[in-house]
Amino acid sequence: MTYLILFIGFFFVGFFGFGGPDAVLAMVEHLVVVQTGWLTHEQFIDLLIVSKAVPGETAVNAATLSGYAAVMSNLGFFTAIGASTAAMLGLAMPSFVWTELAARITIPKEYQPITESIIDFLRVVVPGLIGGVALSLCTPEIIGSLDTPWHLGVSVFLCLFTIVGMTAFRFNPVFLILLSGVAGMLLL
Amino acid sequence: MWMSDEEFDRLVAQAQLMPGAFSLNLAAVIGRRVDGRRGSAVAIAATVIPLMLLFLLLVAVFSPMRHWDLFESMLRGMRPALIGVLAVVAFRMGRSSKVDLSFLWVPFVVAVAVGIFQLAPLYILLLTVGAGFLYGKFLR
Repeated sequence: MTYLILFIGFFFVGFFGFGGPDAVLAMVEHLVVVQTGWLTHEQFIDLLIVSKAVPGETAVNAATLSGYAAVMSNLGFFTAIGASTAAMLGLAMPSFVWTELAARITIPKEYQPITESIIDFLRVVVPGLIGGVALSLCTPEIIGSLDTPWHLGVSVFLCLFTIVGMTAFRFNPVFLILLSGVAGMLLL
Repeated sequence: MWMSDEEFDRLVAQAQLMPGAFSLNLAAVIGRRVDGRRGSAVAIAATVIPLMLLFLLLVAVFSPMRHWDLFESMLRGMRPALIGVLAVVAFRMGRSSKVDLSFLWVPFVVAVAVGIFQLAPLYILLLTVGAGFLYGKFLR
């Protein structure tokens, strides 16, 4: 049953994930954290860290790992492998379906402005989606609260440090995350 | 030599237009071009299977470490850094979209709706596609 829910959930994500990988990421978060409650925000952000660090597309990695983690905690290792396969199949199937559809249907010339304006609209909305993911992850467990001022202060510093490092110095994000990990070992 | 450079560029553009994950879409359209439906299925499987094996290895290595204090405090340092990375990604995408200033509020409203009020991104995307469709059909 869990397999089926995983498959259908990720099938939806893949099938309606207009707007590229970042939209997909937002949908994965909504599915595994908000809708089903399989993972906490804390667990999800840990998965994102791993997804960013290993090769491959972050959204795909996150989907596989969420499938795995979703059942790992209560059902054990081998079931979890099956679950991550189900999640991955669910995400990959729509690519196959859409490719088939795209090969059969040719969009008539007069629809060109429509596709263009859909893409323009999506390009405005998708940054908001990814910003929403960032915002939803700012929970007290993750960045600390006023009751734990040291944790909060270090978190804010590391967050700003990463932002400055990426924008002003063009450092690789994975490098900055690793550096923050070292800082975390020393400070938290 | 499966295809020319131009054709490859065309397939990349198509994969970017399609909903879902880009890497899987790209594998699917290239496989489709090379060997039809079978090619597309094989290409997707070949993209997915190495990833799954890699994750198996990762999980086997990392799950015992999860309970170490040092590992936990490393994660606690990494989490805010990842939030920073996401913020930069959002900002860069917003800037490259060259959004008209009168629509600058849209990404912020979307971020609050998704991040705080937990509105499903699916509805927002469908709404956006619908609005883009109507705009392109009647106003452009």
